[in-house]
Amino acid sequence: MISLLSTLLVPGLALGGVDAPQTSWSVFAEKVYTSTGDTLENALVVVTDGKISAITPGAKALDDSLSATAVTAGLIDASASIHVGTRAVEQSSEVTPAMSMEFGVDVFDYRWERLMRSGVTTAFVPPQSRNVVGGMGVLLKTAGDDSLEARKIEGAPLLCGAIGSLPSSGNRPASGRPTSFYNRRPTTRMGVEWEWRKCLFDAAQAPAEGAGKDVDVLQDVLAGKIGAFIEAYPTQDIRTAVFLKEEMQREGFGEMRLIVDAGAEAWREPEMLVRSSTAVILPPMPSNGRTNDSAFMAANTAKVLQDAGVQFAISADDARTGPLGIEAGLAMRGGLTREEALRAVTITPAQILGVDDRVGTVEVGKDADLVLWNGEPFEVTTRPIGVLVNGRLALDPR
Amino acid sequence: MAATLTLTAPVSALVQVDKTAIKAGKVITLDGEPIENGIIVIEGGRVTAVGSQEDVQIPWDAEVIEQPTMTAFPGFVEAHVSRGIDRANETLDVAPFLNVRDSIDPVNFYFEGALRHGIVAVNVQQGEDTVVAGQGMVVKPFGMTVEAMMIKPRSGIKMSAAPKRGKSRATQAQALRGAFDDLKRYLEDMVQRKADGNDFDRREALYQGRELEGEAAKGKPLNSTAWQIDGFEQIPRGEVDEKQEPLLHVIEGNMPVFMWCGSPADVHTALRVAEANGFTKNMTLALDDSCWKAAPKIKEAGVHVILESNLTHRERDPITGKEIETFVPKVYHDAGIKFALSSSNDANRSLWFQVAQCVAGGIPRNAAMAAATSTPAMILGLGDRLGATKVGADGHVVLFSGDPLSVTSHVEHVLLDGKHVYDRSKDVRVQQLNDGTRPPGTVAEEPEEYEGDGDDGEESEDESGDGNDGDQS
Amino acid sequence: MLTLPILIAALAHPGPAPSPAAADVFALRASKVHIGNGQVVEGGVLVIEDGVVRAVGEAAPEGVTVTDVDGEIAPGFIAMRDATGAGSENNETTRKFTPTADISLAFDAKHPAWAHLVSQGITTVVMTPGASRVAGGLDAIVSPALGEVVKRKAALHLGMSSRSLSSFTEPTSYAGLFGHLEKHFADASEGSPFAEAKAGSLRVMMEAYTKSEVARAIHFATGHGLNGAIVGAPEAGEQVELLKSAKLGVVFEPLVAGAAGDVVDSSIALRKAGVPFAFASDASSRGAAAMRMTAAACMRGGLDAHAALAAMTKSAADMLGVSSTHGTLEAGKVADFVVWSGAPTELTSHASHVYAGGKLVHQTHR
Repeated sequence: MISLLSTLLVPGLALGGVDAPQTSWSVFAEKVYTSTGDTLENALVVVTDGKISAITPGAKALDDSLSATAVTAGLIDASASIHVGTRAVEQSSEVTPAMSMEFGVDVFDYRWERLMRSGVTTAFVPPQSRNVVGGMGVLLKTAGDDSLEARKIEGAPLLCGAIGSLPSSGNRPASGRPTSFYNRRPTTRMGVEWEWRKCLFDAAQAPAEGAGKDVDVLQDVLAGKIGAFIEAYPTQDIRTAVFLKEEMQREGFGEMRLIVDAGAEAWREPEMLVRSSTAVILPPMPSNGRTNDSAFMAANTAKVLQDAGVQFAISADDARTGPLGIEAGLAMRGGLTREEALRAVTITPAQILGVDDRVGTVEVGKDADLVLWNGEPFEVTTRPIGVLVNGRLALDPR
Repeated sequence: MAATLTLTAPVSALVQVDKTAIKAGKVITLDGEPIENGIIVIEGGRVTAVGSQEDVQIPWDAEVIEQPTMTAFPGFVEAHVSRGIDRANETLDVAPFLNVRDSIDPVNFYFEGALRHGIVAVNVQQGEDTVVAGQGMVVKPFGMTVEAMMIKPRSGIKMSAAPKRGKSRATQAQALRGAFDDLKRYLEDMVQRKADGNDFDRREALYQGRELEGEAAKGKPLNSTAWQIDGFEQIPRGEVDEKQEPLLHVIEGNMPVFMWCGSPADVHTALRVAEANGFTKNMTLALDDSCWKAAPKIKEAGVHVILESNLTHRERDPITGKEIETFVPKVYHDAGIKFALSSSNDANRSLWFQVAQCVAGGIPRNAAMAAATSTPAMILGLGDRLGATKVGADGHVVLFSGDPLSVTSHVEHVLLDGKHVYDRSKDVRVQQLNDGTRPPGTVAEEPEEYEGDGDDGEESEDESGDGNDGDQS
Repeated sequence: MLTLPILIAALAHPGPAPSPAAADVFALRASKVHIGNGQVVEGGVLVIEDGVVRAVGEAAPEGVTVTDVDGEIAPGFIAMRDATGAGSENNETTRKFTPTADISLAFDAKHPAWAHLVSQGITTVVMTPGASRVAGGLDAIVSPALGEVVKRKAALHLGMSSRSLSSFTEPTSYAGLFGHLEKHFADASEGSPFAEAKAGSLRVMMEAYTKSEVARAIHFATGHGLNGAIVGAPEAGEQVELLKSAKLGVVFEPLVAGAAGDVVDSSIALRKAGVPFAFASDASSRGAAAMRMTAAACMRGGLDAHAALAAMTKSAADMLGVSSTHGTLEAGKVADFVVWSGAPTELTSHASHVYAGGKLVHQTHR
């Protein structure tokens, strides 16, 4: 009686206060898109202690099941700019490999919830592309306790940087005014490329031990232990990234793992990306094709990459232009099938980020990150009505 | 320009007959249930028959367009837009005598894009940065001249209850009221001059080149629910100055008003001014996303609304810092207010997208569809001509490759007044947007400057590298 | 009518006269004596000898005349973070790291602004380097009324907020800020402030404002075994568990109009959870009464008067490691105390007499 009374008085308490949040549910949907190639009809997905514990097709909803027209795995945005802006990249130097975005994200940022409401349950945050080599990105769940430790998930370590006009945009040669640390290289695309090569060559020639954290990171990049996550919009910059990787290979420095972020013009030379085993993350589809750095993103870009066999994921940045589900829909408008579009926002980004053992599909044993949709996923007429993150109900469909 | 030319030339050559029949796998009429394997007959630019293949006889001399896999649709109506013109606003506060006819650019890319997304009628109005702006017109998004595009001249006058640049909310409201006070003073002065035997107004009218004969020579009492001007019936209507005339039409209920409101507070200003001058019934509110908060007031006033393209209003709770999202159309739908939608400037988010978003947001499909078809047609006074495929309506048909609201559907063909004006397979720019290729012979355009993604403000602050940053404070 | 004291004049004008027989022993009786540890003695007698509290009790010892005062006696307030009188001398703008800078060297005892603080019952002030430095230097505890430095090297002051970031000197980012701090802590030579902080012999005051900054500061402090307090943290109330497990206190900034809710709610949440907190005064920018007004606002929101008083006295002394001499009126402590016209935490009360080290340093005639 007393506990009932207190629940009545403080409605929020039972949910988020005293008791631990509920992490066991059953979810029923007319269609469950598993991201493994199967679509299950009338399936019941059972979630126990934050993990998917059973999936039964041809089942009936239980009395207390959460219900939806369709269910997919939680979406994964492999390049979400939910960082603290210019505070998220150390601009006193253009090459800062040892810096970590753990310090550049704010888990209290209201945009995390917006991202979650759009169906994204896992997001990789690279530093702002103001440095040539900005530092290590961080991978977080979009909901859960408000602490970095609770939200962070360990994936493949990725060193993030950029090739293009952005990393040089704030710099200038010294003249007239007192010098600042912006009076420095690079001021051109050539300079950006030169910085990349220089830091990698220097790291290759440095001793294996004791050369400092920056060099340690770069040596791991050359060894392929840390992936190189490089923003490059136009084809000229994508080429530069690929050529950099191939040059390191030729020099015998190692086998870099290359991920091109924001590869708007990846459609121009897909063979080059296949040849170099480069993965691509596509930026949001811009109006009339124009993106940053004067690149042109064709509406069928995802389709071209799909047909060529390039590993690619679709990103919605920070969901400012639109939710990730809509970006997947626009890729379908460009020719992708629903299944292909689904993979590009679930299992493929999970593979690129090295967390496909935990997230990215609806399979027994995986994290219970699920999106409940009120129609066919990625149609504009559909929206996420419920979201589970690690089995916790972050968006309630009821 | 080049693209428009290549697009029209071959097509218009084909359709010189003025009887056209469209056989489509599905006909969505929006005037009843969809018809499987339906036929639409258009003669002399108007729909003369619509129905199933059993019910409708195709005239022997009609050009037949047969698309068994496609869906025919009446086309979307853009209720209010300030695009396709060279400049949205004048610096003048009050300029009701202007007409967008003089600033519509038929080859503006906006019209091309509208047609490509199945929009068949556009109400072009001046922009928001005004007090009383000029008169708009409803046009088809196709044609080499404004006359060829025209559906309805003088569709209404644009006004703004939201502060014009440089004005406060108070001075804006004052200026809006002032425009009507000025008209009243002018009309009273006219009556006084006439009584004094002064023929200044007559001479001025003749100087402006008016014919003061027939109707123009007659006087009529002022037909206003709010105003009364004794002796006005003595004034030959032709003597009213052409700069004052448009607002007089507003007062007398002959000229619709499109009133922009940038915040819920502006809605109250708009309703007060309309009430005081008797044009509430002819007013449609064009609303910023935040205006959903004024929905009860709007419902009470019984006016219709046009929503700007951003359909999700977001604000931060000042205490918790949490973001609060409101899906705006749902608020109006639930309140029983008639609303029309607007396309976004983003080419990927035209009217079909906006309607689809409404469906996602929980509005029944028919009601969502009405917001981009029958409701804007009704608002524009074109309810019997636009927004539904029915006998007597304008002969506009859009052929979609599938369900008009599906993300994978495209507009394949458009017929305006029975004329085949758009064919996706011949749309050069669509090919370019879709796969980046440029067909031989087209001129490469300079890449447009990317306008940034919103982060720029934040970045440019630090870009200089020596802006002060609170470091000294 | 408020008379601003001039120290010499005040000394020549003792208020409730100490017993002339024994110039260094006197006793005052008030309707209430707030010891500062939660204990209140009704009609208590406070006995002072040689500038030190000898006892608080029902009666005075033999031979000591008791003077009755009108009002309540409470320990002098301790104002955390202030730079009054240091001008801009507390902020070494050319360097982000000046860990050994000793702020006590910037203490100008003759600065006229100190008198305003004393008139608000503040007898102890913690001077700190500017918040825009990463490691701006060492905090100092001073007695403005006596013109004395109570304790040098009271704490190492660390800026962990966006105020320490700039766009034209490093660090420009949080990663850069903590990267540098980590390096300094790792490379700290013996006897340096960083090494002492790591060893736990030197407290730290960490400036952090947003919840995210506070979380980072706590993370850093836990990682290096630091003890001390977070300065700022208006939303600390939502992070009590973290603060508690890290054994860190909080110093709240004076309220700013429009942002009142957070500090008030947080003070109550911290009180409930038993996390110590104190108030910064920032008198040079917010005025001498800002600290009292902030405490009063917290009380208006539901904080009990004992906790509000403790935040300005005992908790502050604990946080600074000077609780053996300051913060309460227990026997043996420095006789810094105030005679208030009413309850010491009410804004309707004024400080009628302020004593520092047993000397009358301020008197308000009304």
